[in-house]
Formats: sequence, C-alpha cells, structure tokens
Amino acid sequence: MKSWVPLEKDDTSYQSISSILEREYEPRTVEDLKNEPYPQNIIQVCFFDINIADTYGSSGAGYDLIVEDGSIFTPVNPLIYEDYVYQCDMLRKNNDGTCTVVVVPSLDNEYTVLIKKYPLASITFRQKPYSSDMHLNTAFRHYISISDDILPQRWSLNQTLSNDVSLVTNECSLYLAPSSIPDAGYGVYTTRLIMPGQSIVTEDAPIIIVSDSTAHNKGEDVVWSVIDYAWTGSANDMILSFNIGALANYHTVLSNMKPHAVSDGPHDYSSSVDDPSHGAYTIERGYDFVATKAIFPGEEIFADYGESWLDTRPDSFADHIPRFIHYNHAVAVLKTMKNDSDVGKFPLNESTYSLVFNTVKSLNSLVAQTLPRTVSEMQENIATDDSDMIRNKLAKRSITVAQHTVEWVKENGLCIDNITPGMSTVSHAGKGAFATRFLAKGSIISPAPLVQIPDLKSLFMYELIKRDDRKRIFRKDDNPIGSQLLLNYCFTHKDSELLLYPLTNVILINHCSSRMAFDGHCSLQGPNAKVQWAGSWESGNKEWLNKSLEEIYELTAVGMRGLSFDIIATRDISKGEEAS
Amino acid sequence: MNERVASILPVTTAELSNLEEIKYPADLEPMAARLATSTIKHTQQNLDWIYENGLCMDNVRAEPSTIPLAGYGAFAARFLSKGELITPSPLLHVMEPYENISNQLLVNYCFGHERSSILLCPMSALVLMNHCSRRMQHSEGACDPANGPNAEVRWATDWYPSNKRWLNMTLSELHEMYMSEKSGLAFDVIALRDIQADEEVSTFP
Repeated sequence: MKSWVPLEKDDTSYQSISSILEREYEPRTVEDLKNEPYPQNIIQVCFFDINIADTYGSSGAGYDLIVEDGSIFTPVNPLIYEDYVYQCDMLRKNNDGTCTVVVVPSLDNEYTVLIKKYPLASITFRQKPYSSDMHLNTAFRHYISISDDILPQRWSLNQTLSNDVSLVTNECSLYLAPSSIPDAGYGVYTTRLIMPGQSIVTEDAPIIIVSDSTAHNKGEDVVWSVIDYAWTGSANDMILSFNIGALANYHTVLSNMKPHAVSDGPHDYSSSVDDPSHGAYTIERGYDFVATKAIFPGEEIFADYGESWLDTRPDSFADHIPRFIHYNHAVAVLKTMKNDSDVGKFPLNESTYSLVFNTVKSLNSLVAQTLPRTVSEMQENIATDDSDMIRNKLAKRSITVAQHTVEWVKENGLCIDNITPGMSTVSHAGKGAFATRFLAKGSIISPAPLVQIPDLKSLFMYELIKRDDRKRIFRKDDNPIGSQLLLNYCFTHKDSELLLYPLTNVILINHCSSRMAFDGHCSLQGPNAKVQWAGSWESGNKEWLNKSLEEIYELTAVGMRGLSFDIIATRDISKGEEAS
Repeated sequence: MNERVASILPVTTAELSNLEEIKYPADLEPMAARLATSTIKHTQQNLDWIYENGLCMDNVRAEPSTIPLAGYGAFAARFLSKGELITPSPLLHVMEPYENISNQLLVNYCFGHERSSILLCPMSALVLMNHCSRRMQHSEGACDPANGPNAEVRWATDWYPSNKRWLNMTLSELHEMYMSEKSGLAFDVIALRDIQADEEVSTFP
C-alpha cells in the first residue's frame, strides 16, 4: 500500500473530493488549467456508461464517440471500478454542450483516444489515485470489539494480540515435550499463535555439513544414528541441522512448517588462513523455519521431510506410518458410505460400519489405521464434505495425534528458545549462544537430547581420489589426515571412543575453559553454565548410562538413542549475555 | 459425458414433455431458462413463503450519520419495535487479519477481539451501523450517552443453521474452513428499544 503524508493545515493545494463535487466545478480546458489548475489531489475524469453503444451511439443520445482513426471508442480497464471512468483532458468546449476530449483509457498512460463530441455534463472529478485520506498510513484502523461474553471460549488465545506479534517474547514459546504422536519420542510445540508465512524461528542453530562420509568410510554403512537427523544435501554431503530442524517430528498430512530460503549465505568469520580458528567452526547459517499452516498454541510443529524419508527406512517403524495416499483412500471410503447412506442405498449402523472397517483392514491395514472406529466418530469426521478437511480431521484423531493445551505443554515441556545464535563475544569462535531472556541460577538453559556416534573413527577423513573409470570418489589409503568438522561439536572424554552431540541450540554454546585466557563474556567471570546428565524427562538416561560401548553400538545400529544432557545456569544470566 | 450437463436434464418423461411445448431450436433461450428454473427451489414467487421463511433486509437505509465525523450511518426505514431483528448479518471470517488486512480500511468495519485472531466482516447493512460505546461521551447524534445504543449485536439464532456448529469450532478448525473458502457464522442485530422511522441505529456489540 502506498501512503501519503498529510498536508500542513494552511496548505490549500489539497481539497476534499466532496467539497469539489458540491461546488459543481466547471470543467476546464487544458489551456485554462495553465492559469488555473485544479487542486493537486483532483483529477478530471470522463464518465462512460457500461452500455456505451446504447447510450451514446448513433441510435442513442447522438454524441459522436468516433475516435480519430474512425473506430468506435470501447472502454477497457476503467480507472476506478464504477462503471467506466477515465482520466481525460479537455481540448476545447463546443457551443452545443459538447467538447473535445483526450481520454486516457489505461492506468499506465499507454495510449490516448481523441473524442470530438463528448457531452460536457459527463465530465466530473475524482481523487487522484493514492491521494485520499484512507491512504494515510497513520489513519485510524481498528476492528469493532465484540464483548467478552459472546466470544466463544475456544477462540480465545492465551495471549493478547497486537499488530506487531513479536517473535522473541519474554515468555518461552518453543518447547520440547512428548510428541503428540504416540511412541514418537519428543517433539516441538509452540505456545503462541503462528500464522502461515510467519517465522517459527528466525535463525536455527547453524548447519554442519558432514562431507563424503561414505567415501571416507570405504562405502561401509556407518553405525550412527546421525542419518535420522540429517537433511539430504548434495550426493556426498549430509546436512545436519539442529534444534527445530532436528527435533520436529514428521507428519505427512499435518506438516506445518518448511525451511525458508535465506539470502544470508555462508560466512567465513576468520580473517586469514593463519587464523588458528580457520576451518574450526561451521560457516553455514541455520535455517529459518516458517509456518505453512496456522499453528495454534499447544500444537506440535511437524516437518515435511517428504515421504521419501520413510522410504529410506524399510523394515522399520516407517512401514507402519500411513502415507498421504492412505488418508485419501480413507476419505474416499467414508464419503462413499455417507453418500450411499444419505440416499438410502446403505444402512449405516455399527455392524455395517464394522464390516466395512474390517474389510478395509484386511485389504490394507494402513488405510484402516486412519479410519474412525465407531459410527459416531465417523459422523463427526465427515460433518463437512471437504476432502482436505476430512483428511485433516482423520490425521488429528485423538488416537493418532493427542490434542494438548498450552498448560500441558508448559508443564510437560522444556524450553528450547532460551538461547539463540549470535556472533560470539569470544574471539575466533564464530557464533555463540545468547540468552533471549533472564535465566535464573540453577535453571535449565536448554535440554540437549544427544546423538551418539559410537566410533570416533567414523569421523576420520582420508585422502580421496577419483578413479578414472567412475564418477565416484574413493579413499586412497588407510592413513587418516583429519576429521569431520562435526567432531568439534561433539562431547567426549579422552578415555572413550563414544561421541555425543546435542540436537538443540546447545550446539552453539562455546566452551569457556577456566584454564585458558579467553576474552569476551567468558573472560569476565568464567563460564556461566554447566553440563550435566538430564533430569527425569530423559527416561533413557538411567538405562543407557549403565550400558557398555558394545551395547550402545548395537542400539545405535537399530536407530535408537537415549542419552541427554541438561545445560544448567551456574549463575544468573541476563538477557543478551552469551552462555559458555 | 458430463455430470454438470446431466444435472440439468429432466429426470422423468413427464418433465421432458413439459419442455416439448417449447419449439426447438428456435426457442433455445426459453428452453434454457426452463431448465435453469427446474434446478432451483421455490421458483414460484410465493409471497407467503418469503414472509414466513425470510428475514427483512431493508429495515435500514444509508444516510450521512448524525454522529459528527462518522461518515455514513444506518437509519430506520420504518418503526422497529424493541426486540425485533433489525438486520440479519452473515459474516465472512478472516483468520489472518494481521498478515493480510491489518492496515486496510475494511478492518474498521469488522468485528474482532483482542484475545482472538479471528476477524468477522459483516455482509449486510450491519456495516453501516455506527458503534456506540457506553464508555464514550458523545454529546450529539444517535449515540447519546443518556440513552446509549439502541441496537445490539448477538450471535444469529436458528435461521442460520451452521452458526451453532461453527461457534463450537476451534480456531484451528475455523482456519481450515477459511482456507477452503467456507463461511458459516452470522450475527443478528436486535433493537434494544423501540426505534422510530428515520432514527439512526447504533449498535453495541
């Protein structure tokens, strides 16, 4: 929307359109206007009836709307949507109540039409486009408020909306909590309203790329669960994203977010090749995630990895997840039953419904999984005839997806937006984690579900060669020359081969050793956070901490994970302070 | 061949013979008109049916408001007794007002609530009615602080059958409806006291 600036009080160059029309201005010729122009916000227009031929043509009032080249004037693209009104200049007045006008029939002034005898009385005035007071960007805009007692309770949000719904509020709005999909581990929930196109998070923790992993590991399948948290990159790269990008569960029907392209590309923060930190941290930026559907407070955020994500996991849980097509089949079955029942062709009752249900189940258990179990539940789901809505309703059935309240999320969840990426205050450290709000001493800064890499050697890098006859690259020999960047983000102990890396923004937290001289926030008082094994929310910890490396290796091979850290504030951390 | 063509064809031979009175192909237009009327209910102009089943839509007319600087207002076209329905008002609901139309003039004509993301835009003469808040001190015109508004906005009664179900929907469900371009909510504007012909109607939501 364009806007205009109101004029000073004593400026007479602007006149309201109603005052102009009331005064019944005499139209002025181009010549007259040189001496006596109209107010700057007023344009002169020529009016045409929609049925122009009937009104003005030879059979009508007798006005000659023949244009210069002999054709009949046909209005197109009216300036304003009221019949046909075009900006026009008057060249001269004739003494029979007509005039000669130049009409500008299109807004872009592409061409003009000369009309020799145009009725003077059909000339009138309009506001110039974008000059009316409704274009003032300061104009009053507010809905009429309905009273509290007629606002249905279910429409009420737990927040007061303003025109500026700011992303980072003082209250936590992204939580890690048990997924609303049964047995799907943890998922990400929002406690604020996010409208389609709005950001869920403006900058997730940076991406880390694991390059040529297959070649470095001699083409063998590496036993790690990293793959479950990776987005596909180019042929040889795995893109590891963190936080929302890693923690959000997948749902084929209910997916409500997507990564948003960012113009802000990779940044190499080190100043020269001599810089000791050269290559020591990822130069990639984190994804922005935007909502593709409205996400309401208390709802889980679902990513759309694409169904191919399920295809890459044969003989696993993925085989038991209904795909989009199964939902569509279910919608078709329900609609057929309803339509036939409506016209009396099908007696819909519990026994006929259960017959249909069992038939579907024996043919395709995945379709059956999405179907309601009872007639009354079925009728609730097909109260609408809109297929998209029925599919959504089926996907949201309480058996498949639990409906949680904001209170439930706050009670059962852990805040994951307490820290956000920013440029570290520690030199040569790249990005760091900054507090988005005050974090009291002893509170959890962030939970950190961990992905385990049971064999440190799987991150080793070797010299790679391209064999002439093939496009693929291969490891030249067995002498490691380096390690994947991911290693710098893993927690381990010198006596162990087990690597653990966090899935949340904890990945951003720089290390502040008390043994070394650091600058930035770290130099002032030493670290302000500590790492400890997670509290009771991570049910796996107790069991996994008693497992041998071999057992962890076995569990990793079948795609399990079960260890988590909590990052605890060791002193009060103020908003904007870097956590280390 | 085509379901839409089939849906307008006569179903019985009796219906067909009805059409045969019209000569084909000379009278193509009357035949099309006959087919068209056969697809809609209540084609006979039955005034009794309209009186019984309809709601009056011309109880108010537009004229410059008696409230200073308020633009147009709604004026009673006839005497309206206390408790009477002044105008029915089906609503279009906008679920992303802050994204789409927060700066548009339309917002001033719609209903909302500070704790909800829904915006309800009337499709009837309700848009004409000026709002008369009890909190405000108007000294002139229809919104006289001594009397207050003479009309009230309520959720529609049974004449708008979908209302009841829609009022029980969650914001998420309403949003789905919005995305599939469906509407199903309505207000009733009810006279809070007797309103004389030519008196301006002002509402209190």
